[in-house]
Amino acid sequence: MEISNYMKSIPVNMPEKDILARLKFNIHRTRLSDDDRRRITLSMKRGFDLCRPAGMWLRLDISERSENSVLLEDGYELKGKSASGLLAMSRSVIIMAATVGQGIVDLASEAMSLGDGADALIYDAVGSETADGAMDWLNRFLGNEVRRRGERLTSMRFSPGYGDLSLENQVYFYEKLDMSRLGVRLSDKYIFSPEKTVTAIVGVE
Amino acid sequence: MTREEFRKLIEQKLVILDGATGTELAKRGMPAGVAPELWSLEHPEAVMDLQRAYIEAGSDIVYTPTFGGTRFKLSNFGLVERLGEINRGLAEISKKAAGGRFVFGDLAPTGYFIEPFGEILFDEAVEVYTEQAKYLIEGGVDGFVIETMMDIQEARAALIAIRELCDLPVMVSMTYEADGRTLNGTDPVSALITLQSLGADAVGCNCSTGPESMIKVIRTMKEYATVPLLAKPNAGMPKLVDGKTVFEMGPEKFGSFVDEFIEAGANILGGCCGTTPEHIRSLAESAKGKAGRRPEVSSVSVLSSARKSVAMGIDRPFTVIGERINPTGKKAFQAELREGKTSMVQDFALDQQLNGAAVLDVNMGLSGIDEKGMMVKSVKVLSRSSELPLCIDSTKPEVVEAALRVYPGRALVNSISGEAERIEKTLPIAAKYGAMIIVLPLDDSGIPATAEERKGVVNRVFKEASKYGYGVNDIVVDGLVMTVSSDQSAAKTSLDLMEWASREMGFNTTCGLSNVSFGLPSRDQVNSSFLSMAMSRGATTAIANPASKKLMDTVTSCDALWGRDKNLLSYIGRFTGEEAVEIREEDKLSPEKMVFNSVIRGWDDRIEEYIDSALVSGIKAQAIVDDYLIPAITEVGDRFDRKEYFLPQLIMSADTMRKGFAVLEPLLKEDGPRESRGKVVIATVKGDIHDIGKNIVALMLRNYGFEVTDLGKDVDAEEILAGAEKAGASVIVLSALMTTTMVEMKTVIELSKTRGCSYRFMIGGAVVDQNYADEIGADGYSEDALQAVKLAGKLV
Repeated sequence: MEISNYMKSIPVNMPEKDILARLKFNIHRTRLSDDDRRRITLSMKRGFDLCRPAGMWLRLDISERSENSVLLEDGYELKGKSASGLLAMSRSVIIMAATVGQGIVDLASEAMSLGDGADALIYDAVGSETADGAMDWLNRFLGNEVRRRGERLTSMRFSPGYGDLSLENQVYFYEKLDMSRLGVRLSDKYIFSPEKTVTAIVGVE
Repeated sequence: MTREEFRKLIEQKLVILDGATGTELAKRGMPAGVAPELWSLEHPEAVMDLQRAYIEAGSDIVYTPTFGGTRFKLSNFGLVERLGEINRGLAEISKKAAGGRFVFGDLAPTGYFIEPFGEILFDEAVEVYTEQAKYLIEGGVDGFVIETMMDIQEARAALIAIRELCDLPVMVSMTYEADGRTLNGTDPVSALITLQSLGADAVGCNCSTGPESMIKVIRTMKEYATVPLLAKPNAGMPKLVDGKTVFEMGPEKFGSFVDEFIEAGANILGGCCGTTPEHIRSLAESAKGKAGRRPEVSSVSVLSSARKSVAMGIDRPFTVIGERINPTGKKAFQAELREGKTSMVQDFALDQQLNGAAVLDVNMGLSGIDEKGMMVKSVKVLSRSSELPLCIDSTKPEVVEAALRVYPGRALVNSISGEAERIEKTLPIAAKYGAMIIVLPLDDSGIPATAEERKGVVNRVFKEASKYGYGVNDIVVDGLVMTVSSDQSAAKTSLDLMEWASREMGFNTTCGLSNVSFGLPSRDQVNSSFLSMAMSRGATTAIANPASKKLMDTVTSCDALWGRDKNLLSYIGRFTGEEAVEIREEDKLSPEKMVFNSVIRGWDDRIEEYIDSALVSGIKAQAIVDDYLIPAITEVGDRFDRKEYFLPQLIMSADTMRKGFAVLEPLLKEDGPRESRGKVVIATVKGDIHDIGKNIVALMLRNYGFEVTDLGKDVDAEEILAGAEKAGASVIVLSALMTTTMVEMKTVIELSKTRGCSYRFMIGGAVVDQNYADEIGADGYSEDALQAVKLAGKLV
């Protein structure tokens, strides 16, 4: 049975460690003066404040599976060994999408056009990591939800573009979830706009 | 059941709750996918069978099966119009099953998030819970449990709803992940402080983890708990066995944790996911004849936000309450508030936090603005962006109420004086929301001149506050510091009062520190001296500007001397490797050395000034470039390679260098064309819209002397080759971030070869690597901007 939901606001905390890691901060070697730390933290906070994490998900039962594909209840086939392996013990699959909106992307572009490359880079990292953080949050939230029904999620999740789960699946995600409700568009090259948008599948066992 | 009866029950014995409901109802026939509440109403025999099994096993309290009984949850099944019937009916069924044991109405998450973390208005959430609670009361519940909460604001909304509706006992139970915080980031102590001060009769945790993890949570909370603590763990963690999800912990093992729970401080135990009546039986048998430890404190000097708690007291590190979020005397801030903006509120918050403030005072008192509206807006913004607890600073009761209602923590109210309006209006508001209060020793007749008279006012206010349940630990007495420039006895009067309040009465104390030096020269010196005197006489907090280095140095030193700084960690952290000396030395350096340093340190706001000074001192523009700028950016690159710098530092230096070049460029042109390291065009390929990485590479290439033509993003092969021809470039840099667009790189390279062009290609982007570069015939791949510079140097 399809069970869908749409969360207009995901309460992500700023993933500071992940942002710094993305910016290649090395905890043992990188030396940061108090002034630089203040400036970088302030930029991260400014960027994070413009993020609007939101997400949606849809649960679909699995009808059939083989070594190379998984057939969903609506007739859609998730092709590839990676999806099939992930969902080997699953009775259902949850498809998920998360975005942080256009604001942070615009802020990064604006900073770059004003010649502030460092801030642009920081905003870009904040957007990427906050989108991932929103997906993590969704994953954990759904884990709690299914546990109350005596189920659990697979320990891994997969995103289109990784392994052999083709990027073409983005079209299915986009249409099935009606991601336009998130203010997201999809290009013919399967690129989401706002660009800080991510999708994933996770199994329900 | 009255709250007093609830309290007595817990004093007599370890109270046993029920176990899992959803999975147990499934065993009794509830199919997947149905609305559990409606199915329960239509199958009372199943509900009663389960609840009787729990009662028979030893439960003192069972929950109504109304976890999804709010209108938000019921709307998913089109059942909103039956909300009253469902909640009332399930309460009645539970009461019938309980046969004299207690039934608590179960309120749980709505599935939405409440402002300031979500879109549901706080009062709308209160209304939703009020509606459900009202019908549960009609059905005869003896009390309430607010359970499985991950959003402290939603828990507050449910608790306020019940407190505004009735005086039945309420237990509130949050759910903590393996990292010890709720999914929304709240830690157990912060949740406890917020909920117990708001009127919860018991606080605790359920779900998410098994007994072992939950014991740690209970132990963490006990020191601060003024109410009993509850734990309702899962039967361990779920595992997949033969295709079915099972919870690994059996009843016997589950019941074996009772003594550890008691030792940790639990007073109420039950079970959550995976537990059965047998688990509860085991628990009840282990608990026979035992009682939990009573709360060890009756009030605590602790403030909380949604993510942090701050404990104050004579044996705690001194608490600096940041005073900067106050428009008085700040024209730019005033202008921003008049426009309804709050970005400076956030900047002040962050600056003060980085400078060592532990609490933020928020004052929106400015003529011509909607003080209440701006206060609420600021509280919401700060609740999201800062983890520090807030001090709500207003003379208007309605402003204080609006702020406290929406604030997701336990705030400090600044202030309650002996004035009639404060006592009659603001004090009950502060008490309703469980806030700590600053007692200001003045009344309607003015500011008493002597410490003795001020003590009288403090005692009168405390007496009034006691009527609302305030204890000594909930009070912070303001020394009411006046300037010594107009009254030299002012400082002594305040110090005498603070010493009395602290040493004789046991209150926390504070003062508006900067008042003491008003009108004097060297105010920082006076403030710091006064602060160390106040600390030695028992002051535990001060409302001050933490940007004052001298002040914060004093706080750190005094804490170390007073023994409040365990192992001197704060002192060592603050004073070891201090950079102040280095900066002063650098100020003595020549301007050209400072040009070098500016690039190294990424001082893009200073380099223009230093270049001007260097030019004035007679150094040629080309020499500044060759001898200072280039060596500096090379040194930055080396530091990046050694990982001593990370990307933002690298780019801050690059930005600084670009600014420096902009100043020098007209002068360099006068000396003839600048020597170019080569011409490069750069583009993000067709179909791809990502360009931050490409822009950073372009910036770095320019800084290293390349002539760069940036063709932008989503550029097709024809345009790229045309652009390269027009620019006379020898190297083309291609960027792509997607597997679907990286193939365009190959298209560009093949088109170039087809046409017999001799361009050399380098590629970069998250999805490409050296193998891909080799595969498509590119001349090189670079992982980051600095490597791109080195590669371009080889290819031109």
